[in-house]
Amino acid sequence: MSWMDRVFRRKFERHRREYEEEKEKVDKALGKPHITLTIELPESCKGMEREFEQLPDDKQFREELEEFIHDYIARKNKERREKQKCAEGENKEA
Amino acid sequence: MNETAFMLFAVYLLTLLLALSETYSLSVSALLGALFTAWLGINYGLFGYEEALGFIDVKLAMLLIGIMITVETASRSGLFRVFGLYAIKLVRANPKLLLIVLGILSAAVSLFLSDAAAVLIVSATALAISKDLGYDPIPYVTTAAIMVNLGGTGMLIGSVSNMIIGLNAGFSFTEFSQYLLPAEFMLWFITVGVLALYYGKKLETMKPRSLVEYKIKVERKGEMLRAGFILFLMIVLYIYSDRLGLPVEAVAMAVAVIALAVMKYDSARIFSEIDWDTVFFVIAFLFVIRGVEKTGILNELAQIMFQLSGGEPLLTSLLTLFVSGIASVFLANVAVALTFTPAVKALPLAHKEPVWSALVLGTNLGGGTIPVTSIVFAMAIGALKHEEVSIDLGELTKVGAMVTTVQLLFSALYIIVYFGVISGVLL
Repeated sequence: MSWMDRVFRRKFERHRREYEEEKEKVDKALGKPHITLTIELPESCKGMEREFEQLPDDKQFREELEEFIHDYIARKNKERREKQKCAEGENKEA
Repeated sequence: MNETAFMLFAVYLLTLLLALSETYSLSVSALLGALFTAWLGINYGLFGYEEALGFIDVKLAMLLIGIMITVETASRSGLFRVFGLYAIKLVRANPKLLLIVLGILSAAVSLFLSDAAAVLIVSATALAISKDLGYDPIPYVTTAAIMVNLGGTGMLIGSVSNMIIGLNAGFSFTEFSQYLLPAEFMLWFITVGVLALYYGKKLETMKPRSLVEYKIKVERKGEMLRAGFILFLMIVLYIYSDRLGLPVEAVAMAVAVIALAVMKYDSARIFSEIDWDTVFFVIAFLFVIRGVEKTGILNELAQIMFQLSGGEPLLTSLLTLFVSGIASVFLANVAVALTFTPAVKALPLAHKEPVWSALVLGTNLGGGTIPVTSIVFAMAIGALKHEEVSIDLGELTKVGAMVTTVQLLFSALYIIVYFGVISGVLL
């Protein structure tokens, strides 16, 4: 990392939390849904604290997480629709 | 230069070097400088302990802390964010218009907020909107940073360096605005025009990925109304402070107390959000300057300035403008303002308004030129990096240098016209 990068990082790091808070508020005001989660180190990841703490800055992790969220919501919706169909079928039979 | 003067001047230079090299934070660098100034000054009999206590400028501290409390409470309400989002919504997806509106908005928000708070709000908004539209965010975030640096140049409470210069010059709020607000408003349009021209080709190629219809959610309307009332009250009190016989620092503290009482936020949280680094830096660096002032070096600097300009008020003003402007490119503009104020005070001129105004313009405009030393640039770059946008620092420096040159040249013209032709002070 160059000296300049270090200078910027140091100056920005001081305001990083404020920037993230501000961005969240802007997204909220624009009507963009936004969630914030706090995740503790999973039991199975003991000894990987450093890697775990670097995940918020990992672009690939965020992309994969976005894909996971999409797949998870789609799967949940499908399950809900199937359950609904089953319930409607049972009601008709009854 | 005698031994004591040499040592105190060395402490001053060392303090600047520590702050510039980022070895320590601004406040710690200045506090170390103040510690050595006190130790050397008292030991060498330049000043006594009681006199050294008088180096602490209580009025300036009151003004700084009062403004910071008011601004923190007002910005917490979300008033500026909502105002900004509505303004941006009006231009829809027109890339050039978006740049112009965002630029003007950045300067307007910065009139009331600290540069750091203003750049956070505007860069977060610019990044969110440009991301949605599929636009390159760099022209928008760069414009926001440059305009935030410009915003507040014309108001006594607009920046820390303005407060230092305004108090030392003995300007009232209205006097300060009368001399400098016209220049600021003209600079808004000149600067945003230069940036729109510079980014013109890039903006023309931008096509919105999708037209997003934003429905802006306004929450906590009551809080925003109260924040609006506080800001209105603050401006009215500042304007009438002369007639009421109230010093500006007293108004700042009074408004801060009213803001805390009206907004009902957690006061401990507000106090913790104050930029104590800047407060301690200003107080401690001023202590260093007062020590150097006692040695007579700053009087000599004033004499040099006066001789270089041949005793001509116009040349002295222009010299102050360019020297303080160039110095502020590389050093913290607060440090430049603190160094120049005793020298300007010592100038044997009947009318110093043009020189003080030149100092205000120089320190404000020079401060937003290069990414390494400019806090607004550093924060804007940080925000871009956070959003994984790659940036060319050389390009940013080029834009900053170009804009500052145009701004300083216009300021020179403004000083000649305003103080020479309109008010006739320089004639």
